[in-house]
Amino acid sequence: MALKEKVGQNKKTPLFKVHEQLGARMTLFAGWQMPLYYTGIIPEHMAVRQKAGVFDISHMGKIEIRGGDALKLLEFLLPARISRLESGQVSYTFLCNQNGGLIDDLTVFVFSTEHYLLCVNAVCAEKDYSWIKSHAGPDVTVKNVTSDLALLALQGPLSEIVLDRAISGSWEKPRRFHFSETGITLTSKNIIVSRLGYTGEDGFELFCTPEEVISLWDKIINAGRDLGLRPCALGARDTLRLEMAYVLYGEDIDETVTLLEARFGRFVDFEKDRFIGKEALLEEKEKGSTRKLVGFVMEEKGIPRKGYPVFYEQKRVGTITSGSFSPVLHQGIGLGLINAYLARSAQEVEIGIREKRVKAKVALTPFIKPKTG
Amino acid sequence: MNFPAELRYSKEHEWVRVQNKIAIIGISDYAQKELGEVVFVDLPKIGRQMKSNETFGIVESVKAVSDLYTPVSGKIVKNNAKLEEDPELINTDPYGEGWIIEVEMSNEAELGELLPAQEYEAYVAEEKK
Repeated sequence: MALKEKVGQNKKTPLFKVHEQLGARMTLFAGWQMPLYYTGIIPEHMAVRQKAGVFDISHMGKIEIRGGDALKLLEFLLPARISRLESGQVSYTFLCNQNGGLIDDLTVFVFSTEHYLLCVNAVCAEKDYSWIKSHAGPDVTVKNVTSDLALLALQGPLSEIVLDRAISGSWEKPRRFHFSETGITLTSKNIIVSRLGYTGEDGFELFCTPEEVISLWDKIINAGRDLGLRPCALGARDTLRLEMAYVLYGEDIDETVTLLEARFGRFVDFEKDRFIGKEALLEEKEKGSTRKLVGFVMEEKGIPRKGYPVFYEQKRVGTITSGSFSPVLHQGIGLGLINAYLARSAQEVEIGIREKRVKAKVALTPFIKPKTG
Repeated sequence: MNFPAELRYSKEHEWVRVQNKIAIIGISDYAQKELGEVVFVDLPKIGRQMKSNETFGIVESVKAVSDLYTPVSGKIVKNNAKLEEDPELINTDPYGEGWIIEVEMSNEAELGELLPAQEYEAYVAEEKK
């Protein structure tokens, strides 16, 4: 069998030594040396579904936008109505190009109309920063603060209990899609606690300074140890998001996939005066997309993987964009693009896996129902 | 890591246990560790004739798809149907319950090209560097 992949001189998060000490199997992701698993993808995945898991996701891109024109800039670059977001809210949104194609999917943290933080995919950090900066006028500053903020994800039904134990002193527990912070300048000793995640379970994403992340990680590990909390890594992060049918930029979506093809139309405010991609998306909305990004659940044994063809009545009608094994369902699941007329829940198709045609069904919603998310 | 002395090993990380003219084949402890949790095994059909180093099946972990190469030529006389329900036997018992196929060898001299346990262990140590 063919094995191995060398991890060379690439970027490291502040927790690199911790991953080594825990005996993590490392991998290269978006130019970062990251843990793939500590004990195994499946036990880490199940820990998050049943108890709690903590992830180092400090590699994610972070872009700070400040100034009198901050709102105006974001209103132009993002398809959502940013002015309707309240201070302390975090929202899932997108950067689109002129064709309505996806430059990135991201979350925007609203501090005030003059202060925002964007959390973007690691693989897009430089690209997004350049894109945003190129549209910025004199009354707004755009800063790439990726390395200035460390980021942990604490996810799972027990995550609130764990965090309660880990954080000493009083802290304001945010509700879902909100965040708490008691001072957001980068020299502050405070942490930003946001209530969201990429797993479908209840959970938090915590920003802190790189100097403090090891201490925060240790606090969480110790607080959760006898509750069954595990350190979890990118392998489980991928299977968890896939069970929720959440997209992964670079796999399921890229600039050649439009926001409407990816079925994110509900995140767009078409009443907005203008935003990049508006005309193209309006046209697509009227005409209808020719293809859609949907989920696939295997009906027979087999695992869909990126690039595998999708067939209907012996004709090729699509391609898998990402896929894996679902530890909860014990089946292969995947996401992929399919001709729009077949993008119907429970539509029967076949996935080409090597020389076989394997039965699968289209799914338009998450594959599982999380305990607490 | 475990490399039973009575087995012979290929550089592709398969092991062979010889019982008369039959070669029982699986993947080594090193291979299963590198692979991670096995979630799917694509077994070949019984009766198939193979030449050594031909791909005879697929073993899939959560993250990756890996080809299996036969260390010896011959006819497949058995495959381990248990792996369809319990693919993780390859991880938990790679040299026992995790066996994958049995081949009626057509050229026993090919066994001479495989590595004894000590040499395979050294080969693995080099690969890890």
